[in-house]
Amino acid sequence: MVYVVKDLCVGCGKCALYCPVQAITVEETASIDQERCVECGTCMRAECPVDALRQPDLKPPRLLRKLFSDPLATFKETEVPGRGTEEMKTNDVTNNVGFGEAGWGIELGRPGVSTGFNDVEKVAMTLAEQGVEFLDLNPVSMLIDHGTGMFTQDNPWGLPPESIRRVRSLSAIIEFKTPKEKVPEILQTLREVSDEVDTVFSVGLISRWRVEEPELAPLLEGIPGIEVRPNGKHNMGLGRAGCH
Amino acid sequence: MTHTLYREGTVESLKNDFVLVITGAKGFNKKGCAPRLRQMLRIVSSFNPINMGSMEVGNLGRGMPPKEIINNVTDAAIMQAAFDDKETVIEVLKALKEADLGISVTISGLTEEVKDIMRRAGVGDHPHTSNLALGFMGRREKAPSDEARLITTMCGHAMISERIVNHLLEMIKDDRITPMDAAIRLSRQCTCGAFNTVRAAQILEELGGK
Repeated sequence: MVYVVKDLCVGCGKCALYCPVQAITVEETASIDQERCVECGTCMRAECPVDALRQPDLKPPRLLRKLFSDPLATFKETEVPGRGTEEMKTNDVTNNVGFGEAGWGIELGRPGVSTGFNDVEKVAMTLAEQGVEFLDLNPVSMLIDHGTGMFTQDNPWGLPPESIRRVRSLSAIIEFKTPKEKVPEILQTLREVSDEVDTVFSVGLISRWRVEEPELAPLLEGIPGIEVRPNGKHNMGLGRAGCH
Repeated sequence: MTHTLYREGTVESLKNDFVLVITGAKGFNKKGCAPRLRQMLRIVSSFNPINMGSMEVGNLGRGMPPKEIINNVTDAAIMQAAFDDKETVIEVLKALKEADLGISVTISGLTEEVKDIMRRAGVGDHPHTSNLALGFMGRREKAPSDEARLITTMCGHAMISERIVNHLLEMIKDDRITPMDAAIRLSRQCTCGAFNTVRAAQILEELGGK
């Protein structure tokens, strides 16, 4: 875990300003609250004037904090740097989300709060009860049983569920698909579970387009508390499989 | 991931904020795609983006020269480029379409603006697929302030803390730093290259009462 070399630290507080989860406090020297720290590496990039921060290699389960928090870390299974996935960036090639389907990305901890993995499991379990289809190439999906949403020891590191629940990260994205008809029901479920978590989560909805609008847009009209932001992320349709 | 999806701000403030993402698809065209990514980046780079790069490669905001960024691209790279001008994005998209390299391109920005960009670039009338941002739920009181989120959400990996934003705003108010220098300092925390320095400077200027 990241630590401060006390003999070097001059207590300037620069690292504390940059820490996105307020894990660093400074009295005479800086101290890191290891429970709060998510190993995102931001302090290491904060240009400490005396180079007083150290980042040793991490082992599981601590390593999970880094994999889910530091964009410079890569899950070898997804081949995507950071905690992310290809999501809809390549949907023009993969057709992961087709017509009649809704793709979801529920990002716990965003914006700027961080999340405990006990909350990640809580939301995943609630969604599993709705019969959602968790996506395979996703870091959270590799930790959960796809039928129940519970953490499973059948994960890339063989970690027991109780140790995964103690992980914290800047964020963690639960990705899944549903038939489009389930959109209102899933949103209601998310609203209900949002009262039970000790963090925030952002909701992203992936939709194919009909001519005039995203196919799923009409399903979102009139749902209390749901507003589609005017900005989004849009696939240009320039990709194709296997070209050279 | 969805790291360029949740940028916050008014429609007016988002009008000049576009992020292009270029990446291969695992199992379809990712293996061996680095030369095509490099070719596409050379095109993008020729239009002088505000920022450009990727997590594992580095970016302009962190001081890496474009040539080095392009040379370091691997098959796994998810390349980003930020622009603050719609007309330029139209030209970039035209050039990428003309190059026809078969690699996926997404643009994050105002939906209506992106549709217009597509039409004018000859790419089509609407996106193939969109990710729609529906806001956030839960313990909202724990999130950074509405003002800070205008800046912090421009780094979708959440590398920019509310504390540093507030600290720099105080410095701006005291004339100890210019909004642009503060924006450049913030952009160094963005590891991927999606941070829009020009927009950040404008927001900091407004929030700092300058």
